[in-house]
Amino acid sequence: MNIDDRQLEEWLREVEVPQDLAERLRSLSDSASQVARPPRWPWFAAASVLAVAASIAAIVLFVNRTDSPNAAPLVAENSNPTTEATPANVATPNALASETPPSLEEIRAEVEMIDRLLRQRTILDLGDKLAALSDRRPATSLESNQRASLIVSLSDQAAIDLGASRQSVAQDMARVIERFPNTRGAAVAEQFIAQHNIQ
Amino acid sequence: MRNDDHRRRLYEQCVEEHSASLFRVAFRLTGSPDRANELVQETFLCAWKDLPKLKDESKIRGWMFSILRNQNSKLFRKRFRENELTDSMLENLAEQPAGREPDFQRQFQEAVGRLDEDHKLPLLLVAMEGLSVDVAAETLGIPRGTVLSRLHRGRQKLKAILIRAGIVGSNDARQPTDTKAIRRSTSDAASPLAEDE
Repeated sequence: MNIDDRQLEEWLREVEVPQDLAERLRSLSDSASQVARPPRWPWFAAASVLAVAASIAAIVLFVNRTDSPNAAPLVAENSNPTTEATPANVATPNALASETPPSLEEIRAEVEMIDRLLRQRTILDLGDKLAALSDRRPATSLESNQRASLIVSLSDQAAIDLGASRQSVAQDMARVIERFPNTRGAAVAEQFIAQHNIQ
Repeated sequence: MRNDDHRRRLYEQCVEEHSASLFRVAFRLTGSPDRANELVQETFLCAWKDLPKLKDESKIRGWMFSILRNQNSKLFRKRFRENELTDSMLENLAEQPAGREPDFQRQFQEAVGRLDEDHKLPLLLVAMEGLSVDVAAETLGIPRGTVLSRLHRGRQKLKAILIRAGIVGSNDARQPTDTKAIRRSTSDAASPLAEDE
């Protein structure tokens, strides 16, 4: 055989590769992502609403029965590590009488009620609904600052733990910033967005 | 796989570094630019889905060729089931590729198409695309020695086909010829270089 190996390899490589091949393959991943990724919102909505509702309901109930302005926040156990559990993040109750914390059955009943009533898709909507509920109890109404803080501190890490993407949580954070500007909650939301380098 | 950003970066790196190489192999396997496009797209689609399962990113090149090989078999079986492959098509696998000297390239591709896959793949992966013998062995799932042996025999077979069909003269000069001569040369080339593995 007189054909040189290198010549053979050179002939083998004489294939014209399409100019737009790389571009088409890049766009393929975008299409694949949209098709492959299962819709998170139904799961995120159901799971996060329950988790957040349970926590907020517990706090609302607790606040209803607590009159001490320095009461230890229940939120501290579930909060984002970046959020400080300071008195500013906790609802300031107006009730004077000191009572025992709500029982588990009472909390469960409250959560079930909220679960039946609420089918919100964002933490902001959920916060609004719960705030509306708390507004009917003037003694426990939350100020905007505290409301935003509560929403943010409870929901972002819990949502991510439940499988929501950082992008979707960041969108909720952006709405909190828009609705409650210049609040502690907005500052925490901005910190979350910056921390995860979300544009 | 740490997160979506990393997955996307790895995928794009793969497109930049390996898409041309994969297309060349796909073309040599299928003999058609359109089928090569289809094969490469299926390969990358599969790669995108399975990237989270890739444990060792340093082996991604061999991994991509494994996917290509599997997808080629799948597409071939699909086309066979759908009766796209007829005897006449099997005898005329090479289509007109783009580029210089179309007649020679068409005939050359037909000669490549005459090789059985056992000898064709080592030739394409190692000789054409420069994969190491070890990576090719892992990609093909065969021992290193078998890769070397099939590579040597693949070269010999292809050269024999090219010379006996008159596509290439004894002085390496390219010469036009007819495809029937290529088919005759394939059967001639097969007997002295019979597979013994």
